[in-house]
Amino acid sequence: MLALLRHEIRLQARQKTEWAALLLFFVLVVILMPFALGPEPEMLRRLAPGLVWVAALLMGLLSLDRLFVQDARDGTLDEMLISPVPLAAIIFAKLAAHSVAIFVVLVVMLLPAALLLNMDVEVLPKLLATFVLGIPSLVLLGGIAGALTVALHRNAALLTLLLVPFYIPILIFAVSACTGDAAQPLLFLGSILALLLPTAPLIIAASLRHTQE
Amino acid sequence: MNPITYFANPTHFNRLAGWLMPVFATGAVIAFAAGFYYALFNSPPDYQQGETVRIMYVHVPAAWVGMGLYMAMAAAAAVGLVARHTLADIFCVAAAPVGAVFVALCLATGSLWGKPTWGTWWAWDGRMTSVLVLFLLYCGYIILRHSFDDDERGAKASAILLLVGIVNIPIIKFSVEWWNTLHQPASLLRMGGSAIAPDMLRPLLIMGAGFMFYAGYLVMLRMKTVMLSRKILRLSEGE
Amino acid sequence: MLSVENLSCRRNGRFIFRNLGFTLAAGCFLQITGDNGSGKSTLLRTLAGLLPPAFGTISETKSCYIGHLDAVKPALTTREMLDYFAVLQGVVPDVTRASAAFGLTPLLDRPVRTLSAGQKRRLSLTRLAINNAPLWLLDEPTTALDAAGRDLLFAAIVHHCATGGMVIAATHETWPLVDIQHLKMGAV
Repeated sequence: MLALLRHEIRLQARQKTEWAALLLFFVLVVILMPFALGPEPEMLRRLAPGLVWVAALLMGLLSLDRLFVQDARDGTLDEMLISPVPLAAIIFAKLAAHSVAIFVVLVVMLLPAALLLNMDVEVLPKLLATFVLGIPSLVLLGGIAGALTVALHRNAALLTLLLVPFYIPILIFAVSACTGDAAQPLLFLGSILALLLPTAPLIIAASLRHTQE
Repeated sequence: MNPITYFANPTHFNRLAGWLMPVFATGAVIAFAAGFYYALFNSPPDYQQGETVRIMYVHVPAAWVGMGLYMAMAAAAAVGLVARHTLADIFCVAAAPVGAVFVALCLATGSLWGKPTWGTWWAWDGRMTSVLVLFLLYCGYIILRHSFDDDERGAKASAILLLVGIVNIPIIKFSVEWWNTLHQPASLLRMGGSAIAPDMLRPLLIMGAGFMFYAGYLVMLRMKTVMLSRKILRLSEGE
Repeated sequence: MLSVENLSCRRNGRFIFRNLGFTLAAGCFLQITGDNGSGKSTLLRTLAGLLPPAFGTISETKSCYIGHLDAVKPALTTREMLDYFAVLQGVVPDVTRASAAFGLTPLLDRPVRTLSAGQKRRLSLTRLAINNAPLWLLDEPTTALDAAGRDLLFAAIVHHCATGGMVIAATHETWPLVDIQHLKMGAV
């Protein structure tokens, strides 16, 4: 398990250019917001956590094709399916590495985004907490949708359609935690993660096995 | 006798459908006739909303059927994955567009009802938002199901999606309603409050029965169509 | 020994092949030939356990499947890739021995991205040396290989068969091996 995790993290760490592009995508979405909504600092301060979360969500969606599509294209997916190592464990390592990569990108860009949107300093720790509890859930759900659509060739739009309903609760609780009393929504976020953590890798494993050509 | 394998046989299924479809059709006609009479002429206007409350007699049954069909599809998907039977998939393929149309009807009537009641076509009300999400789930299912070249793989992938969806519906509903109480001013009227007058409940239930008969009829009809079109495909491929 | 009985495989509702049966004794090499689309790759993928058979049985045998795709990551080095193959097989990697099998020792610390197509193919074939499976399933294994690479593959196959292994390969190449069984796939 540790060896798998080390491999996946190394693989993500080697693909810095691709993650840099996603990082820029995140910042660009944040930069677009004041142009769409107007530059009043007071309004941006109020909307900042929601805007950052929407940008993070879009970046997460965009990053998902790296999860299984690349493996299917280069043949690694076959190797994973045949392997005597439990498929769910391989998937778990993959999703963990992916979550870490997204988390790193967000942490790196959090300060610039906060400055651009005139965010309160007190919100930053809350926002970080929602990232810790929310990002893995986004990736686990994204893994399910990614596994269901991996056999289809052009799946980006379908992936978004499949995921948006499932992302709504996460978005609601994450943004509420930043804007109001944090304890209750963080608890809900944690519960969603606790529900997904043991089940999602198994669902993904079953989906990959059943949709192989 | 295992009922699933029994009715999965097209002959047996056709016999069942041949018996059930006229029953459903008759039931729907009778219930709609009685329901519309009660809904339009023999029920009181609401003391706050006036005559517009009559939209409820279409709006609420449409939501029931939309939700009920999704649950039935998820149950069928579970059976299909365990028992590996194509009838479950045929049911889901047949029921999905029907359910989606009923949900769309619920959204449209809800919007029409919202304008006179709230003064806006769309108010991000908790229930309506949940129905909108249900509509997205239907769309996702339909597109995923028809994206696969291979029917067997498409059936499995979309069955898994249905099961993940049904587990998530309560979470989505809870989150949306929780979010709603945070943001919604309390003065807004809520649709279909807890206490409903018996004079209003009667047409609502009759219309509900009519919608269910009609949906059952449509699903049966579509199941027959799906079975026949698959047979045509098989024959045209010379097997 | 591998025995396949009554095997049928279906895709998109059509049978790719039907009622295929054969047995392969230890130390044997089976060459599969047939036109494009006759189901060679499907048969190999079914034998590897990647596709469920529509009907029929395959005796339980640990196999190593090398498909058309190399299953290598451009971002990693050759050594890291060999390590990963070993992790996926659940074995402790013996990188020195494995890399020698297909002449990759000088390339161990090069990123896979800088390797040529033939070198990537060799890296992909090195899975055969890492995985100690008795049954090798090879789909067009000589693609992109140069003469030296082919010789290494032949030598590996001869050695594998001599030590009681089995090889099934889909290829139209003439193999300089003595004991070859043939299976010709045709339209159903």
